[in-house]
Amino acid sequence: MKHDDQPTDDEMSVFPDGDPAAARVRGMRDAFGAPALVLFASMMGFGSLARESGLDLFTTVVTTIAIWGLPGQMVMAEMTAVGAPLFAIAAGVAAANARFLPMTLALTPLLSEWRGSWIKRLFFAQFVTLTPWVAALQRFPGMAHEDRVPYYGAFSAVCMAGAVVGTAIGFELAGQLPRPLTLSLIFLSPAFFAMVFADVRHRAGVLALGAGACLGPILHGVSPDWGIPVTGLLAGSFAFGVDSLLRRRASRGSR
Amino acid sequence: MSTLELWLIVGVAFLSTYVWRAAGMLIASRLHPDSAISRWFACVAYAVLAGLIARMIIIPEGALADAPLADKLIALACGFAMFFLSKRNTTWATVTAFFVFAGIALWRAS
Repeated sequence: MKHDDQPTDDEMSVFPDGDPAAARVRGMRDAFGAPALVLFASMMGFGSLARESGLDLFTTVVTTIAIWGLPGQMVMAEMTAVGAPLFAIAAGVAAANARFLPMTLALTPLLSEWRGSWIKRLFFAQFVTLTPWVAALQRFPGMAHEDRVPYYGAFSAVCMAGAVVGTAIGFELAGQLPRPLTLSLIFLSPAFFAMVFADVRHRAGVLALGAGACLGPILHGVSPDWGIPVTGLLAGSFAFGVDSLLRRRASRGSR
Repeated sequence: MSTLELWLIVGVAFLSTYVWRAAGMLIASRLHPDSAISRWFACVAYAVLAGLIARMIIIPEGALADAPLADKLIALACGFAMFFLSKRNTTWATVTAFFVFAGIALWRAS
């Protein structure tokens, strides 16, 4: 596997040198459109729910920025509405957002040449959320190292702007939207990610997505608490195992 | 509910989400992207997300539970069709799925 450590001539010629300013523009352009729009729409749903749960406008908007992960935000609003104790809210939100651990574990190695300080790294970690994460995993491998953080930052900024505006509008419009529209806005987010995942084409990713999509609903039926984490371990390890086996066979064949 | 209580809840929710991100950042900072462990992390992350999205569509909680599964599957099928017709344009595919779903929801409401 030694040869993997050296960039090939092919990769070098695609990005002869990094241009962080251009990467920033590209990140904004990529986010402006479906990614920001989907976050805008799904955060409208959260804004409405938060108002009905007794939050005020300011704390609702701060929640979007501070948690930056819709499932955990929904759990927080629902549990606040029923007056759940603080430790129960902490456990509920942590469980709903546990996917951020494998997501950050997968994203961070792609920033291995980033010379950012620990403070910068821990600040960057806050911006790990599904929409820019998917874009990063798709785009980073072919991108110059110095372009990656500017690209990600610009992409996230546009997404967060859309999310904050959506949260505030959803808060103001709570209870006023017709029901078919509310349903469609909630449907928008899973539909978007289904389409985004359809665009993943490398073998390990396709295997993991397929196995996870089949196993997830089944194991969730067995255990709503542990179904999804166990899905990740089983389907992810399966995909990794099959991909590694095929890699080894391919490298043996080429020798 | 007092404002102080609300801020306490938001603070606790922030911390219980951020620990996952910080842990991931601290553990993986020195890893090479082509190492076996990095590739395994990526596989686990993809599998978790696919499981989560599939669950949201097939076994939804909250308001979306009212929409029949067939509506969602028809909308997704149209979205995937547009995805391939538009040469893998995720924006057009998402917009198509959204409008097909909204159309069916409106038709059911009328």
